Amino acid sequence: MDLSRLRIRRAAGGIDADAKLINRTALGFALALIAFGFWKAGFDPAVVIRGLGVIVVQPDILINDYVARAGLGPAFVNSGLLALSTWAVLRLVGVLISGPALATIFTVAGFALFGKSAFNIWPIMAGVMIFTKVEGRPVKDNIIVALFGTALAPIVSEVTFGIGIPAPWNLVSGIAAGLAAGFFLTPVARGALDFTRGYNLYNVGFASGFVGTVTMSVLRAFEVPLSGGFAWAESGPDEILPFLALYFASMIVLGLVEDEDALGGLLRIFGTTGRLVADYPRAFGIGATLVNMGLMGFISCMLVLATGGDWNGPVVGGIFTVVGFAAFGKHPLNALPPMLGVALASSITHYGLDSPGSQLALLFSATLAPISGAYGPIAGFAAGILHLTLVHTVGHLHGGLDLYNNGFSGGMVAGIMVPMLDWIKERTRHES
Amino acid sequence: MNLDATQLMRCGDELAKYFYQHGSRRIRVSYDFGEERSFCAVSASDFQLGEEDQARFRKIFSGPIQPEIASYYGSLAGRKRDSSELDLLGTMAELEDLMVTEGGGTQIVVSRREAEYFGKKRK
Repeated sequence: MDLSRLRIRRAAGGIDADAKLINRTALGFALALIAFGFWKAGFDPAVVIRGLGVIVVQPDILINDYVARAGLGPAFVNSGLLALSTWAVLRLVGVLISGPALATIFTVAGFALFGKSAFNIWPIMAGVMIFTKVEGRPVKDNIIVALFGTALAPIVSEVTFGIGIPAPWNLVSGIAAGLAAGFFLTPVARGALDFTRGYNLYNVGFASGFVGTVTMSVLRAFEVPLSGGFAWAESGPDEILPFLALYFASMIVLGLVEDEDALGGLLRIFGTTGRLVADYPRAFGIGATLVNMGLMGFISCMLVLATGGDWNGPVVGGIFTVVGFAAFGKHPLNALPPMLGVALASSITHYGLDSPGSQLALLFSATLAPISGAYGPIAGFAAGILHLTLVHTVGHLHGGLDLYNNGFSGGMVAGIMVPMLDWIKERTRHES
Repeated sequence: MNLDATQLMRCGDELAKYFYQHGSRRIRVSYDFGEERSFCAVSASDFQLGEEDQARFRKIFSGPIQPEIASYYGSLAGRKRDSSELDLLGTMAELEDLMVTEGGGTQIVVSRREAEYFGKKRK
């Protein structure tokens, strides 16, 4: 049969009807962050610019809370500007703003509160783009990897500002290091996907962990002195929580108004495993997705409140990431089991629930949501327990150069647990 | 071998798996690799796709393809034995034809534009 002679019967247009609203949601999020940041900075541009200057020259090794370093206002403006840049890049290369794109925008915005700046993300992205050109593919093919790959942004900052290279060679070296890291990230990320098989939502974080580990090993081998200390603001919910609550409530209301079947769609989302690729706006519409995102935002806030967590850059970054991935795999039924597993494991181990690492793991453990979605809540709960023990250990390997440390740990958990769970499932089926 | 051809083969595998999971045991997969666009046809002579499933297929393939998802996550297609990644196919290929005939089985034809061909042409 000569298939090429078939008449093409594709529907005219074909552009997702929800695309405009998804696009506005992404843009609105970025603008809301900038507006909130300016409000918290007393609408004083000098305060914001000074704060952004402080942020740009940070070495940025984990955990570097911009709220502690530069203040709440500049940190949120930085977050909003990077969300806006991400949105603009996606638009520029012609990517449909759907579930994965929303996840990248919210994740970049979240980590722009503790590690990503207007300087350090670009060399990584450029490195991925160079790889794409060498591969002979269109630029947009690897744009998702490029944006998530900004997890390695601390490599740029550390080499530029942290290891004592004199100017202007520090800038040249930092950019070169970022380009190299970005270049090698794409093939590593594809390989990592084979290991985790779609059960670790932060797969680029897993791949970045390996690139970060190699980079850190080289730096340690040559006894390069690293700088960049730990910064963690210990603040209550009063300043940030009302803004978040208002934003998440508006997402839910907008979702319900835009789609009269939003609740039906939400129930269908609850029925998914969340395994990659779960593009919720494409499969269930933006109305249901927005409700799910708002709901996950509230659940994350309640978890932080219930465990007495701090309301600072990293924790809010974790909340934003959960919300972003609620368009790309997470929903309450699959995300809560690993989160509760982390809560239990933190309580019974010496790490404690109040340590920064545990507070972040509580939120970011939702990277393992597909495990509970596919194998049940007990498996998800166990994955959360294993995740907590690993996440406190694997950070030493890359020394904080991979911002998505929970993605690195989550990849290991998924890679270890999924083959075992498959074996158990297969054995149970044979016996029955 | 170029990525577009590999991805189309993954689509063929995934569609064949779907037919097998739904009870078909006589499945034929054929490809026609062109310079600008390549096609894959999967047909099952002993299986008729229900109306609900037809609607599902049309919905999955109703949106535009998303190379930014397909090129990175595409390797997940065909990986799970007991579940299908049909949604992923919608990001990888376009539906050309879906034919269900009484007593004649089901045929699905999908196609994919050769990005590398167009990339070379631009140079």
